[in-house]
Amino acid sequence: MGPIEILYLTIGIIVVLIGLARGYVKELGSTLIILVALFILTFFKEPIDTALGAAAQGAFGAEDGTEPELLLSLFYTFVFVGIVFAGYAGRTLTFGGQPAPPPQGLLLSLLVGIINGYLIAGTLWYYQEAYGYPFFRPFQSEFTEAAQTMIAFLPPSLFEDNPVYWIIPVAILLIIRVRG
Amino acid sequence: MIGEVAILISLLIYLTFFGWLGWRRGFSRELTVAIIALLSWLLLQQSGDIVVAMANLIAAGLQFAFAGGFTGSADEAFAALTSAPELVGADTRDAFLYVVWVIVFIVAYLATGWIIADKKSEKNGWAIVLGVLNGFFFAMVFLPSLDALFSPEGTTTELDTGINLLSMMGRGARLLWDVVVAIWGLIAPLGSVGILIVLTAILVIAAMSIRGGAKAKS
Repeated sequence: MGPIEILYLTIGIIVVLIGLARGYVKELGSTLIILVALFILTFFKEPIDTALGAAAQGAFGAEDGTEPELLLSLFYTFVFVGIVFAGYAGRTLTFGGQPAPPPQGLLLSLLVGIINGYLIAGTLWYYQEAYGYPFFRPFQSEFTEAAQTMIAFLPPSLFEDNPVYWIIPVAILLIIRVRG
Repeated sequence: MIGEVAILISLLIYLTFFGWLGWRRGFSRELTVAIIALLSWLLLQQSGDIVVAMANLIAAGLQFAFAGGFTGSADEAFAALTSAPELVGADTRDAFLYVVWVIVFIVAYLATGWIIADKKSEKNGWAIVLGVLNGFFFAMVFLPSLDALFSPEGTTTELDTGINLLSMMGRGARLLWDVVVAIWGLIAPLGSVGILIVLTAILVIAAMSIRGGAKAKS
């Protein structure tokens, strides 16, 4: 199998391309939702881990089995993907108005797309890494130096000590949104 | 580090200029130039010998005509033709093909401005991207001679080898990456606060640049 970072970089690049196609005015609304999702999942990580871990052990009856990791990884991934999907599909939070003309507009679309790509792909990667890759175990022994460096900077681990940091850009963006 | 930043700023100014030029000229013109430049470059790389043979044949035809091949003694004309040196030899082949490509590229750039109407050449983001690509082609065209003009003797780029487009783009990407790494070196000591500041700054700049945003209804 190839390096694991290729898989997540590919996901990230696809999100960047979507961002370029949609433009940063639409992408900012999705960014807000992703940041809120990250805040919720990191802020309530401990109680969720405890509750789901206990539920998994009760259900599967295994003290040292891999079921709790699989369940937690699945739970976080599905919740995060669900929130992100809601942020992209249907009625979404939008910033009204026209984007800046090129080249600034294009550059901003690229930057916001890169942020969204990093947040989405990085978070998906984190919830595999944190629970021991319940889906991709063969990957683990093949980590490159680049992958090990990237793992240290995956989004949920950025503000592990203070998850409230995720809400700061959200609050500022909302103020700008309300002021119009 | 400072040298790298200076080079990167120069590169960004250069590419911004061509991006802006691409925006002004529009998508159709820039696309036409990019296609012609790429195809002619590939064609000259693959079938350059045919172009060289054609040039030598035309030169030989002119030699034949000026030596009296059509009016005077045919024997003398053939003798002059066989003793005449080739216009393009093995040693000047690459330089000749490079000049041919430069001519094709510049003619395409000028001709698209005249032939394709301004209204038919849409101004969009792709026009900027193609403008930047054409900027790389322009660098390939003019850098060797400008290098020869400004560099100290002995450090010039050989005209007949030109500049490899892919290696130039690769060097540009590596330079950009080095600067990103250097900037990361400045942010990393600040820890998560530094990342938060950068993330927030980008999002705020993007949100503030939206024009004519609808105000929330009270």
